[in-house]
Amino acid sequence: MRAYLLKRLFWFFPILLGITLLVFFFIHLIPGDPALLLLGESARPAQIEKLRENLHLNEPIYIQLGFFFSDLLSGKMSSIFYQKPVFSVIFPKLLNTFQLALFAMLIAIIIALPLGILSAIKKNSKLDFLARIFSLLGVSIPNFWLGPLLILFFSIWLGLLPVSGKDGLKHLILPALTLGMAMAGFLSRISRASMLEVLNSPYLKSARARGLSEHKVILKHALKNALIPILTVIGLQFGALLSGAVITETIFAWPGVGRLLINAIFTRDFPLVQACVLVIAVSYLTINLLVDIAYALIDARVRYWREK
Amino acid sequence: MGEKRSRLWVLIIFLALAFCSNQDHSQKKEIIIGIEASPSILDPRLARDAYAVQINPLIFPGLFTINNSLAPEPNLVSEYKMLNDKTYIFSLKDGYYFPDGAELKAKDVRATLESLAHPDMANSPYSELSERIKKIEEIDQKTLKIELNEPYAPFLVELNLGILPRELAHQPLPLKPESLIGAGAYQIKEFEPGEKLVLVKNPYYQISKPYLEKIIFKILPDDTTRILSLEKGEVQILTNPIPVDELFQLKANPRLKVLERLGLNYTYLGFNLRDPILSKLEVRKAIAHSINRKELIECLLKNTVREADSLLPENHWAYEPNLDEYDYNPELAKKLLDRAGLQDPDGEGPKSRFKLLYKTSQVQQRIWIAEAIAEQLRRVGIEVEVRSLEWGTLFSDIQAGNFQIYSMTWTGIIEPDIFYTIFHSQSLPPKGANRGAYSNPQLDQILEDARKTHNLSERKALYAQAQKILSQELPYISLWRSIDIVAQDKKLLGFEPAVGGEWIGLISSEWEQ
Repeated sequence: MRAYLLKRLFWFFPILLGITLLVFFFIHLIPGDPALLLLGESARPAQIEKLRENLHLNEPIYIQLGFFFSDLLSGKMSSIFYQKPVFSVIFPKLLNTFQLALFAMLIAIIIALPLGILSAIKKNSKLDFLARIFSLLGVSIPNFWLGPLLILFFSIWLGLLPVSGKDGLKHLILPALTLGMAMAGFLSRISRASMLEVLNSPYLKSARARGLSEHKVILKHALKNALIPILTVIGLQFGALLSGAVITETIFAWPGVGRLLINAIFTRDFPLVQACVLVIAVSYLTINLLVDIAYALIDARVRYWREK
Repeated sequence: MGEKRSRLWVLIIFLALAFCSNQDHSQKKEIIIGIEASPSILDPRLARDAYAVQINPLIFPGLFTINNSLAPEPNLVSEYKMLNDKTYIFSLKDGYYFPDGAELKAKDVRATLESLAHPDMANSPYSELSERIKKIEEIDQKTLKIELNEPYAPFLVELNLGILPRELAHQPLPLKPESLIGAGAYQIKEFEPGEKLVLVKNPYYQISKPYLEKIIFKILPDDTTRILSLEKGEVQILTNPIPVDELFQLKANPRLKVLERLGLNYTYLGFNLRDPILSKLEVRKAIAHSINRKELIECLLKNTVREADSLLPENHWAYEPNLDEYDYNPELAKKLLDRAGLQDPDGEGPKSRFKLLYKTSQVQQRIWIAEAIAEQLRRVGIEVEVRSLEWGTLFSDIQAGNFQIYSMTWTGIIEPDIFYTIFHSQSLPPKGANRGAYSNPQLDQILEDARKTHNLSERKALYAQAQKILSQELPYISLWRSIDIVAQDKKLLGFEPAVGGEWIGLISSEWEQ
């Protein structure tokens, strides 16, 4: 297990370095002069020149890269818009996004797992049919449509929940539901497929032949193995949620990292854009790493060290 | 059993409603305003985005403000006089106090103006002001003498700069938003960029008695959410941008009031006069006669803008109403093109007289407008290729003169000296914004004179001449001007939107009891 962990960690850092380099170079592919873009049409040459100096834009690219790394590692990298170190801007927002993603994930799991499993057990029944329709709708309905629809229903017509903002649990329900529904659709489909595959496997037949109750067969033997691909999907989806909740965060004015990134792009706050992309990439990598480790713990076949 | 269950439901619903109930803002003497994006920097010396510029007068009043005719009007100043065409004496009004209890004095004004010369202020939209000022003298605690390097008529408009206390003006940048104070009716309590800005009453403000204790600007980037929030009562005022379709919905809501007024944003079609075809006046006039602005405004923009014929709005003190008009007249356009020697090779056939490249941004509405204009020009035999570019590329191309025709919008036009920036032959980019390289020595002289003329009626006459020349020579084709929309809760009384969209009207607003 240790060797496996070390191997995964060994790859973590080169990937991180690659992402950092990409983040640095991509921002330099943007057409036009960043200083001019930042200051807008009415900027005077002296103002543009001053900003170019502040952003080290007059230096050769390798010197700029040096400044980029030294600012990044020393924590000096500052947001132009917020006028404070980028990471102190990002972390509170990352926590909000994490809270939203976690809640959405919980909603998705609570809905999708039982639905997927029941749908597999009662294959081709009415329940299965309804569950498949639900998962199809969940996957197909876009967030930018579902979000306003939920607002219209729960906030405007029923007057039960607030439209937007972040001020306690009640503000979390609608954005989490919006995000969770799409994921629930996907997850219930995966759960169904995975469960179906396991249900047809010979070891379940032998479990039944040994006289175990159906309840025990499903929960103890089938579910454990069906969970392996589901867990991977949950991990990947959670990672995607951290970076992909932009639309939901914008609709519900949820102060997360996705919205911060979009704001940073619109205000052309390049250091903040770079830092946001980096933080999102690191979160994604970390979650992937954790999923891989969990995967190894659950599934003996993944523990490579035994193969040696 | 059934009765027990129904009681349980009533209890659950009651708890849910109690849990989620809306606060009544009118009881709390507060108001929540939904805005599309966050103000960036609130420091009045550095603020340049529309959101900060519109909020700042509540916190940091300037020596002058802009009235409904877009002329400067004394604000912190009780009276002023000019000793000569470069020297001003300003006397400050009594009753303006900072939230720490200190009275606003000449030293604060001086420190704020002098701080603009600091190298860190290079990004300030007011940095040129420091270059214009030669000397500032405090005659007494409430009187100030300012001498300029040379006569500069737009000086008073630039004095709408918000004043900071001296101690703050001297502090190194950047200043924390919560530490910023001005002598306005409100002070900053909390600023969470991208989320909200909370203002509370300045306890020492004595000019009037504002009713609202707290003003919350809530940042709601999504158009639909912003409008639904207003309909639910979570926010009580909204301004542009309001999508056209939603506007009808808001107007139909009996709980809301929708106010409209002419805005300060001006959309135009710019020509590159270095181009051999576009340098011909007949061609520019033909293009102007080929564009059916009414059709574009009705069909594409759903009457949310108004036709414009000058850079200045009709309510501007320097606006000249008697300008050359270019009605939609494709037949006249064809004759003008023939006269310019650009005959149509096959009449109504597919061949064109000549081809133009029209550059625009990637905003969908801009692309639709460009395509509609291209179609209108095609009807008179001009082939137009529309190229939509990412904003950075578009702006760089236009600054570099790498275009034939383009469309953009000037925002927040107040001071007519903008004609100097856009049309004076010395204002080529990057120094100015004469991107089409228009040059007219007569206009240059008029604009130079207007800069130095302090008498408002003389200045008005000079700008009238300038507008007439521009309407005859057409370096720009005026398309339309924005209409500012404010949708508010009907129960809010006394709110008048200011001409530049400033929120200053909130000082005299109150909730219906």
